[in-house]
Amino acid sequence: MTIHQSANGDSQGNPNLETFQELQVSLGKSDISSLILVSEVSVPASGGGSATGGGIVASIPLGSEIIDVRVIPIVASTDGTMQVKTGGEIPAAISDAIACAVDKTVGRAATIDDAYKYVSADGVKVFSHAEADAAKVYILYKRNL
Amino acid sequence: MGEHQSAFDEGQGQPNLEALQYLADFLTPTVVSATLRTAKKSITADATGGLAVSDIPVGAKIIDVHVVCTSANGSGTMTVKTGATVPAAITDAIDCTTDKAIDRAATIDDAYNVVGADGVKVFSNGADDRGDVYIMYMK
Repeated sequence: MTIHQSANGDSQGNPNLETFQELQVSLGKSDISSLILVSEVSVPASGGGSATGGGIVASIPLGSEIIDVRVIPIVASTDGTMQVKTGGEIPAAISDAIACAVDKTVGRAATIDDAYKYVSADGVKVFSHAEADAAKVYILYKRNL
Repeated sequence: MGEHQSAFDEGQGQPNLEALQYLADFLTPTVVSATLRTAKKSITADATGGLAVSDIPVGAKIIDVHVVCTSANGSGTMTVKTGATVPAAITDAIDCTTDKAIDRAATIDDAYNVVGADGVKVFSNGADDRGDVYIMYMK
């Protein structure tokens, strides 16, 4: 139970119970469910994120609902795209292939497939069109607690 | 103070006071108020007469809306309106014609985007329009 033992520093004052009560009220289950959470996936050029490289894993909890995807290219790459898919052996597309051809130009998902937008045990991966494509991919999701 | 009573479970170990201090320092009411939230309304039935969004609180300020269409339907749209007897449009009619397509609000009316006691409803154009409507708001 070591990890649960108190590390309270007296010098920092005692915990303010009123504050915790405020948090308890203002961050209840429904509040947490309503928060929009973001998973950032870095796809470096030649980083194994290409369609032939097996994709790059996104860290998103099981059961989360993917509601949108944004792509910020970090290099120019003709015909570049980023696509969010399931992490299964045969990945299924969650989003369309989002343009990632022009450095700094934000791309947004045009489609989200409701058949696959709930994260399963297979997880989620980001796939690029080619090895040269590089971007930060932001996957917006919510927890349905 | 009933809602504040402890549901402490000793079986899960002791609270980590350092972690609680961190929360107290950084999750201030201002920070909590600033978090972007979303209310989801799945339109799975006729919404031409408006279907209420249950999980958006009074006083919330709606700042964006997008629709993920879940079925193809020509001329389909979703509009977020006030829940008043005579509803006022908060957004434009957002396209919802193509299955899986994401469409985003083009307009938000600042005269109506703060949720009142009447709440908020989603109205579809046709009886068979289907989609998941995500309403982004801040408290």
